[in-house]
Amino acid sequence: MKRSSMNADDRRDKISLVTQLVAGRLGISEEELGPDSSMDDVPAWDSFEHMDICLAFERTFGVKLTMDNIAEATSIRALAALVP
Amino acid sequence: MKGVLLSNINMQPLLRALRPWTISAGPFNSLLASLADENSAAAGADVTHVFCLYDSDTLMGEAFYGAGQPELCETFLRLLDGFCTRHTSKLVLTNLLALSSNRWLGFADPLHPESLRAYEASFNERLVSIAKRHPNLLLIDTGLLLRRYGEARLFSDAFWYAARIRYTAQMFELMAGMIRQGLEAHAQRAKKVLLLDLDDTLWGGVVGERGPQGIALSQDDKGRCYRDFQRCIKSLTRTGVLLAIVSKNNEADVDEVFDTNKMMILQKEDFAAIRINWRPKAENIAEIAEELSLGTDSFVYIDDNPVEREAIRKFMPEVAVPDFPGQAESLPTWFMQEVAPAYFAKYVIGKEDVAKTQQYRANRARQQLAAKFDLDSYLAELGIECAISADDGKRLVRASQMTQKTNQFNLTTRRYEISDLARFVESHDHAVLLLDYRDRFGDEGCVGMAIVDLAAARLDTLLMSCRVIGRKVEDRLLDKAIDLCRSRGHRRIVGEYIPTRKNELVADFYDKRGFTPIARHPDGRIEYEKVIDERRRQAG
Repeated sequence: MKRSSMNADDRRDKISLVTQLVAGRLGISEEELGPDSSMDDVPAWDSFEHMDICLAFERTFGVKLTMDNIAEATSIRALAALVP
Repeated sequence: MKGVLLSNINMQPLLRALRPWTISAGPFNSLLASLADENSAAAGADVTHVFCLYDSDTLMGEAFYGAGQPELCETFLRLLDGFCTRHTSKLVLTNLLALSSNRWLGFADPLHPESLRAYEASFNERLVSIAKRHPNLLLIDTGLLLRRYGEARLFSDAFWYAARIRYTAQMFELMAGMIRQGLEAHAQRAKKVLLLDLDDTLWGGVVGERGPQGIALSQDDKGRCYRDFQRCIKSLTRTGVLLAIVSKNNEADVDEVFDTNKMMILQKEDFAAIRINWRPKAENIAEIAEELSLGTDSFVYIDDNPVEREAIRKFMPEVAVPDFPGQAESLPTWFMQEVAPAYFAKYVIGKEDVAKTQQYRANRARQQLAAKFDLDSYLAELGIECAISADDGKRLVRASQMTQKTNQFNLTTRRYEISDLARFVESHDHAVLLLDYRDRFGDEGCVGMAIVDLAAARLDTLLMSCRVIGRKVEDRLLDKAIDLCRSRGHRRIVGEYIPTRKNELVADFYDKRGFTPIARHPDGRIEYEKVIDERRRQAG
C-alpha cells in the first residue's frame, strides 16, 4: 500500500517536471497544460517546437531519446514516462 | 545585429541558443544557393552578420563514403570567397571542416590516397588562405568542441534522422558560446592586463613561511601543476597581454624566488608592473593603472584568496575577478578553457601584440632618459622615426583594435569594427592613416591613427596610443591629414572634440594647434576649424 502511493507521488512529480519544461520551451503558462496535453491539442506545440522540447528534455533529464521516442512521446504523459 | 544563418542541415535550435540576437535562418539547405544568389536574404543590404555553419560530413556528400569527389566542398570555398569579396561590410562567420570519426577507410585512412584526414587538412588550409584575404571572414574551430566533449555527447543520431538536427542541446549551447566569444575576439575587445597574486597562486604555499626553495614548484607532484599554470600564463604574454604582480609579501623574499628558484617559468622581466607590499591591493592596482596608462576596466585579477577577490569586486567593480579553482591540478585547464577565452580572446595577433611587454619596459627606459633633459633635447635624443601609411587594407585588424581600445588620447572615441574600416578604405572620400613609430629604444609599431573624411575635409577620428604621448608625433599625423585635404582643394579643415570620462587629456588639442571653435553643442561636443590654404593666408 505504502509502496504504490510512493509510485503515484513519483509519477505526479515527473508530470509536473515535464509540464514545467514544456511550458518553458513553448513560452506558455503551466496552467494551460494538463497531463494529457499533447501536440494534437496545444497549438503552440508544433513539430518544430517538439524538436526543441525533445532536445531540452535530453539535456534536463540526462537521457538519450531514440527516434521512436521522439516520434511517439508527443504528450506530457508520454514524455513523463521517459523520465528516469 | 541583423544576422542570417545558413546551413546544409537543420540548425534552428542554434537560433534559440543565440538569443537575444536577432538572427533568421535561410531556407533549409540553402547554404550554397544563398552564397551564390545576390537576391538571397543573406545578401540583403541591412544584414550585418552571415553565419555559415555547415555540417562537415554532409558537405562531403558521397565522398564521405569513398564515392565520388567532394564537389560541394569545393563549390563552398569558391562561393564563400566570392561572397566575402562582394560583401566586405558584412561579417561572415564559418566553421572549419571537422569530419566525424566515422571513417570508411578505418586504419587505412592516414596513408590512403583518398584519405579523409588529408582532404580535411587541405580544405582547411584553403579556407584559411581565403580568410587571410578577407578581414571580414571569421573562422571558428567547432571541431575543438567535439574533441573536448566527445561525439558521443554532442552528436545525436535520433535527432539527425528525425529532423536533420545533427547535435544535442549541449552542442548547441557550446556552439553559441563559441560564436559569442569568436565575435568578441574578432572585435578585438580583449582585456589588456592580468594581475596576479603569488602565494598559492603562482606557486604552492607561502614563501614567507616555506622559503624560496620550499614553495611547491617542481618537475613532479603538486609543484608541477603550478609550473604548468605559469607556462599557460606566460603563453598569454605572447598574445599581447601584460602581466603584473600584486602581492602581500616581503619584496626581498620574492626577489629571492626569482633569483634562485630554478623551477620558476615566469621571470621578473615578464611582468610589466610589480607591486609587492602590505598595502591594500586596490591601491596597488590603481597605481599600476597609472603606471601603464591603462584603465582598470581592462584588468583581470587572479588570486586564490576569496577575501582579496571580494575586496576587489567591491572596490573596483570594473576589474574582472574570476573565481579560483579549489584544486591545484585544475589550474592549467581552468586557465586555458575558462580564463583565456573569456577575457583575452583575440582573432588576430599582430606584431604589436607579441612585443608588448618589451615595449612597456622600453618606455620605462625612456622615462629615465626624459628625467635628464628638457623636452626638445629629450626628443632629439630619442631619434624618433615615423612612417605614415594611407588606406592599407592589410592592417585593419590593428586599426580596429586601436579604435576599440584607445581612450585617453582620442578626440572623438568612435569605435569601429574591421568591416567599418574596410568601407572607409574602399571609399575614395575617406582616408585611413596609420602611423608607425620607432626610436633608439625600440620599435613601437603602429601607434597612431586618423580617419579623414576627404569630401567634407573633416577629421572623423584622431587617436594616439598612450605609449607615445608627449613626443609630438601626433602633429605629423595632423599635418598629413591637412596635406590630403589641401590636395583635394579644400581651404579649411574641421576637427572635433567629443568629451568622454577619459579623454580630458586632449580637451585643448585643437585650441593649441591654431584651430578656432565654430560650434559648441549641448552634449559637450566642440567643432573646430582651421584655414589650410597657404597662399590665401600669405596673401591675406
